[in-house]
Amino acid sequence: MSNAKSPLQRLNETQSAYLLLLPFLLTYGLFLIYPFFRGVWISLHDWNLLQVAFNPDAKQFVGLDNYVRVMWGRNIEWSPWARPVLQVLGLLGVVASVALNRTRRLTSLTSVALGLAGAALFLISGVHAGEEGRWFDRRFWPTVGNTVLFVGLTVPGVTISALLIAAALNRETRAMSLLRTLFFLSQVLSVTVVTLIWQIMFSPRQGLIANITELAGGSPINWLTDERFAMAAIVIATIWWSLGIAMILFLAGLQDISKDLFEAGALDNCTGVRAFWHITLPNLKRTITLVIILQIILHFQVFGQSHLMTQGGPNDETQVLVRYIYQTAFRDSELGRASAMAVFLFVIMGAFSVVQFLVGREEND
Amino acid sequence: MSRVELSRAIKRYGATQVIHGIDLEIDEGEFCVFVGPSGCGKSTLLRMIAGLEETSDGTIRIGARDVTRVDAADRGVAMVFQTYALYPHMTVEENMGFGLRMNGHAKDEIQQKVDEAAGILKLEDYLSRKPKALSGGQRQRVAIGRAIVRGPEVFLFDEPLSNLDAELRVDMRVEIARLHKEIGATMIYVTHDQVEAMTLADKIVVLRAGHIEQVGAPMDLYNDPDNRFVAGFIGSPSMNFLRGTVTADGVEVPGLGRTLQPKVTLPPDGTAVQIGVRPEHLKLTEGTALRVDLTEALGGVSYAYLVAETGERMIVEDRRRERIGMDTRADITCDPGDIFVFDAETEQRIR
Repeated sequence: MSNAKSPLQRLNETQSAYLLLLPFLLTYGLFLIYPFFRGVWISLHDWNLLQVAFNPDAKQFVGLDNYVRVMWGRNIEWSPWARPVLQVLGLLGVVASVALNRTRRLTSLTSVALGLAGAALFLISGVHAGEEGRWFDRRFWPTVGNTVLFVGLTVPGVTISALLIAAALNRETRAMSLLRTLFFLSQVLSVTVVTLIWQIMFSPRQGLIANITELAGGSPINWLTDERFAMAAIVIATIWWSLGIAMILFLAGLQDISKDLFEAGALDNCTGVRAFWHITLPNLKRTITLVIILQIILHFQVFGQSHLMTQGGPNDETQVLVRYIYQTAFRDSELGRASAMAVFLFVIMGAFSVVQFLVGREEND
Repeated sequence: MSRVELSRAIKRYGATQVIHGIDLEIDEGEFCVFVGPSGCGKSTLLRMIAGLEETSDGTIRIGARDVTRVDAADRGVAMVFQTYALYPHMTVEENMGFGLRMNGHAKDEIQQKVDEAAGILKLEDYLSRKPKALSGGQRQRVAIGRAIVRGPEVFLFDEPLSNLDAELRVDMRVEIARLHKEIGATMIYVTHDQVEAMTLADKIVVLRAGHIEQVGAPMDLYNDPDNRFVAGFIGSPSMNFLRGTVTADGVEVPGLGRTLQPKVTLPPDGTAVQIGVRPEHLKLTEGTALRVDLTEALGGVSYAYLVAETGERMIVEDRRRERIGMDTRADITCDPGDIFVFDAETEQRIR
C-alpha cells in the first residue's frame, strides 16, 4: 500500500520540517552566516581589495595585526584621570547601581548591567596615548565616539518623542488615524529622500529653520558645516525618519493596557499626566525596552545620513563607524582592516542583542 | 455611609438613549443590587454613579451632595471591577494603598489602613506579591481591599464574581455579604445572576432596556412581581407561562385543556392573558394533557420538562423519591392562589 504514496507523503514530520525550512536555511546561510565568517577570516589578513581582485594570492595572513593596527597604538597607558568627566560619570554609574540595588529600586539584572556599563566607561575612557606615544589609527576611536554620541542622542530622542506622540494619538477618531498615518509616512522614505528633505530644511538661505530663526531676529545657523551643530542636524533628521516604527510599537503596547486600569485610576484620583506616569509607563516597560534596544542596534549602523548630509564633516565631527569601514574598504582598499572594524561593530551590537534577550527573559519570570 | 439618590437620570450616546429617566433612592447602609439581562443598562447606570460615564441629563446625589458633574475621584465612591483592574506592576500592598497615596495621605496612615483591610480580607500573607502571583479569588479580594482602604461613602461592584469559577463564586458571595454586615456601608452591586441578587440584596432593582421594571426586597419581587418580565426573571428555574383567554368560568388555558380559576379580579371575557406558575408550586399528577420530554435529577429535587399539545413548555419541580419516566404522559395541579395572571398585551400583572 505504501507504494501508492508519493515520495513527499513518505516523509515523516521532522523530515518535512527540514524540507520546508531548507529555502530559509539556504538563504540565511549563503547571505548571512557565510559572509560573516568570511569577514572574520578576511579580518585576519593583509588584504588589499584591488590587488586580491587581480591576483588571489596577494593576501597575507597576519593574525590579529589588523585589530592592533586599528585599536591600539604606541605607548598606550591607562590612568584614572585621563578623561575626568567621562570617568567620573562611569564611577557614578557603578555607585548608583550598587545604591539602587541595595534600596531595591532596580532589579538585580538591571543594576548589574548599569554597573558593568559604568565600569566599562571608567576603564575604557582611561586609556590614552602616553608621552611620545600615538594611536596607530588616530581616527578610529573618535569615530567610535561619534557613533556612540549619535546613538546616545538619537535613541532617547526617538523613544521619548514616539512615546509622547503615540500617547497623544491613541484615540479612535478619524483625525487621529489620519495623523498616525502622517507620522508613519516618513518611515517609508529612503535615506536619500530624507537627507535631501533635511538638507533643504537646514539650508541657511532657503531653509525653513533659517527662515524661522530670521523671523525671530537671529542670524541663520549653517547647520551642516558648523562643528557644533552638524551632529545635531543629523540626529534631528534621523529622529524624524525613524519615529514611525517606534510609534507603531508604542501604539500596540498602549492598546494592550486594559481600559479598566485607567478607570480604576480615575477613581483613585490618578488621571492625565499622573495616570501616564503611574499606569501607562509601568505597563509599557516591555515595549520601551524593546524599542530602545531595537533602535540601538539599528542606529549603530548609521551611514546614509552622515554620508549624504555632511560627508562625515566638518572636521570628522560626524564621521561614523560604518562610513569609516566603507571608506577603509572601498576607497583605501584596506579590506582586512575594514573587516576588523566590522567585527568590532558586530561585537557591540551582539552585546546589545544579548541584553535584549536577558531583559526579555527576566520580564517573563 | 451615605444615601444615593437618582432623579430622572438619562444617558445618551449620540442619538441613542440607553438609560431612560431613572428615579431611584438607595438608603444609607443598604445593599442594593441592579439586575437584568445583558444590555439592559445596569452597568452603565453603575458607571454613571461612579462618574466613569457622563450623565446626559438628570441628577445624581450622594449624601447631601449633587455629584452629577463631579469627578469620579471626588464622589467618595470606590469600585470593584469584573476584571479586578489591579495595577499589574504594583504589589498587593501598593495596589491597596494607591488611592490614598494619590490623595496625598501620610505613609504611616496608608500603612495602617492597608493592614486593617488586609486583616478583614485575610490578605496579610500576600501583601508583597504582585497580582500575577495570585489566584482569581485572591485578586478579587485585593480589589475589594483596595475599595475598603479608600473608606468610601458608597461601594460599587460591577459583576465582581463573573470571572470566578462556580465554587469560588459561592464563597465570595458569602464573603461579600459578611463584609457588608461588618462595615455596614452603602453598596451597589451589578449582576446578571438572579441568585446573587436574591441572596445578597436588601433591595433589588430589575432593569430592562434602560427602564426600571420593579424595585423591592428580594422576596417581594418573588411573591409579588409587577409584570411578566420580573416574574420570569426572578426565581430559578423561571416561572412557567401559558397562553389563556378569560371566560365566564375563569381562564381557559388551551395548553392544559381546561379552565383555571385564579384568585384575581379578571378583566372582561375574551381578554387574552398569560398565566404564570412557578415550577415549585406545581405538582405532577396522573393524566394525559402533557408529555414528559425530559427529566433532570439533582438529588434532593428533580425537574420534569413538560410539553403541552400546543407546543408550550413547562418545568415542574418534583420532590418525590421516584422519577417520572421520559415520554410518559402526565398532568399538573396547583393551588389557585399560586397562579399569576398577566395581560397578554401589556404584560402587566392582573391582580
